Amino acid sequence: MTNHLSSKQISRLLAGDGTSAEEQHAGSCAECERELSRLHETLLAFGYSVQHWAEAHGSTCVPDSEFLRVRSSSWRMGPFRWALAAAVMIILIVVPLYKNAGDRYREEDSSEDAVLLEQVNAHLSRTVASPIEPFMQLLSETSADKVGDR
Amino acid sequence: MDPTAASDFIPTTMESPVVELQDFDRLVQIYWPRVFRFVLASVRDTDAAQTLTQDCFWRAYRSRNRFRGDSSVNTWLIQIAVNLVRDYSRNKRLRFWKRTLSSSVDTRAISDWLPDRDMSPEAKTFAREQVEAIWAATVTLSKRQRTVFLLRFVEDMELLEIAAATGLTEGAVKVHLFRALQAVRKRIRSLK
Repeated sequence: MTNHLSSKQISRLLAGDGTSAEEQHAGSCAECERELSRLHETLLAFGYSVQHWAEAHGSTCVPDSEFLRVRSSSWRMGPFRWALAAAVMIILIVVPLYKNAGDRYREEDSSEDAVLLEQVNAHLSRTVASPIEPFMQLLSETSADKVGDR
Repeated sequence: MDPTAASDFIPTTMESPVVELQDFDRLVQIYWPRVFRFVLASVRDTDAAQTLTQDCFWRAYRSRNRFRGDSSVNTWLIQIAVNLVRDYSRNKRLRFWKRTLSSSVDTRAISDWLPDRDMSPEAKTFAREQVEAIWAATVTLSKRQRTVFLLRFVEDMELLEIAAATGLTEGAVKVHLFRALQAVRKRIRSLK
């Protein structure tokens, strides 16, 4: 490699993706080596700055790991809480439905009772048994005719 | 990378990842700063970073019995953090109204934290401008490019570790890193 490394080749080397020829050139060419080392220094300074900037924003303020145990116990209770909420929801939905259904059955039963009572009343109000009723009707018609003839 | 930087919170004699998980209190002490830093640099909001870092450790705590030690604890935690940051960014648009109560950090002061080296005032000013340019460039990167860039140059992670943490292949990590570097260098060149 006679020419200096291109911008892309330098970026590739910094990314750890350079070819052996590029690496060899960077090791032997003072100018390219200087450019690489300058970039490396800049990136080091950047990394250092971010690390100390993060420290200033509390990266080293490590919380007590108690938070894990507190969260763990509340997390374990989580499913139970969901189950309780689900049970309450089911009760709130099912009880009114059940109550409505009971009222409907009671209404149906009372109407059936009323019909039955009417039938009983009708039965009791008869003077003769229902199979004889047609004969009685025929007899009453015949006696009326006789009265008419007279 | 500066030896006093990213790795300063990680013990030098590392136990096996599974053994390390047994003392979760200690694990929080060791890895919280690093996870918080990555999340803060990604979301740039202190409250959100606190919440997401807590969520990260909470998820890790919950699934600690399923961790087999295929990767280091650090990579595993960063993997969880990457997913949380991604989900947060997706939902961020829905929370625009919350910005009135925003706790977003002032990122202009990032260059106040430059290493205190023997530099001429001119060199220091130039270095500050460069750091601010990189910081500004990271905002314009895609989510993946930004994640890969921060993990490489702030968290000092190896390419394979980044691949494990992001779920990308090593080749894809290199491609994202290359594109991020191109964008960053373009921004730096515009200073000259």
